[in-house]
Amino acid sequence: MTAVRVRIGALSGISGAALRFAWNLAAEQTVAAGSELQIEDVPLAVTCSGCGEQETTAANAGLACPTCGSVATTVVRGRELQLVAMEVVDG
Amino acid sequence: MDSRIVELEESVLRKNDELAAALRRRFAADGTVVVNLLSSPGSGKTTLLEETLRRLALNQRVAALVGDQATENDALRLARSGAPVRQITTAAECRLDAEMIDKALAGWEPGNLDALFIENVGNLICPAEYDLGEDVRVVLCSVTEGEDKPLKYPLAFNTSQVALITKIDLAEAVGFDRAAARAAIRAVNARATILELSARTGAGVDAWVDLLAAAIREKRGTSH
Repeated sequence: MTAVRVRIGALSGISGAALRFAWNLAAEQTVAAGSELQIEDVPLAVTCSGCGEQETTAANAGLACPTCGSVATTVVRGRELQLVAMEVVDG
Repeated sequence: MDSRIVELEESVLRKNDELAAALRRRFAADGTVVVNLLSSPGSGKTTLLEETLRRLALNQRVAALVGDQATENDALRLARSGAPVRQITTAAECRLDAEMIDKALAGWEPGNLDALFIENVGNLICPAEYDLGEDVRVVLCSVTEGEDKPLKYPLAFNTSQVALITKIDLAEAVGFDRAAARAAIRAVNARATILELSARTGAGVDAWVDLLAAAIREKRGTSH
């Protein structure tokens, strides 16, 4: 295994920096030893039932709709914690 | 040697989500309302739960699981209510997960329950990520914690159906800004039921117990 790609949402509670810090140590003596950790950051996005705006990317503070300010929003992206793919070398 | 990309597209928490779904089916078949309590350490989860169990146990079958890194102290406190209680000590883990609930239920026969309360580990970050198969997620925030806490920990507040402002008897002493706290909850959750209460004085506890009793009635109605 030469690389691992993960997807981390802004609201996932996962710190990319902490994950990078721990990666090499955690991968030691496993098939992932020496592999590169690739992090795909997913910004927060909400749909707003106030103004009907779909998938507006929200700013860092709060989950209110950045277009109309309504708080009647639903989080549609940003909670991800996913293993996307791994790069392996055959041989 | 050629390298190739293997697509996985898998949620890291998939196993927990599957286990939680299985727990949810089981609780649905049993007609048991499951309540997951989340808060920082010291928000008053145990004190409120002790009072809640004491009141509900008068005419409902209730039990509790309580998670802490160490000690059986909270289970001992909760057991004073007379309800069956089991402690889960998580050691290094900062949250409960569905597997811990599944294991704690195995070999424990608290009877056919109307409601099971799960007191999570005091932490507002990781517990928000883990579905435990609950019907109702309740987040507590005491008046001593700062009115902007919901903004600092948006996921815990966003994923809860009920937000409790606890220790309301201390509100005046600490200069608690009630409107600011409610606005902060609303900024991350438009729908949650917000209740203010004090387990110590009993203020507002009736409304909380009524909400639970209604959830129990509703679930009992749909499970048969």
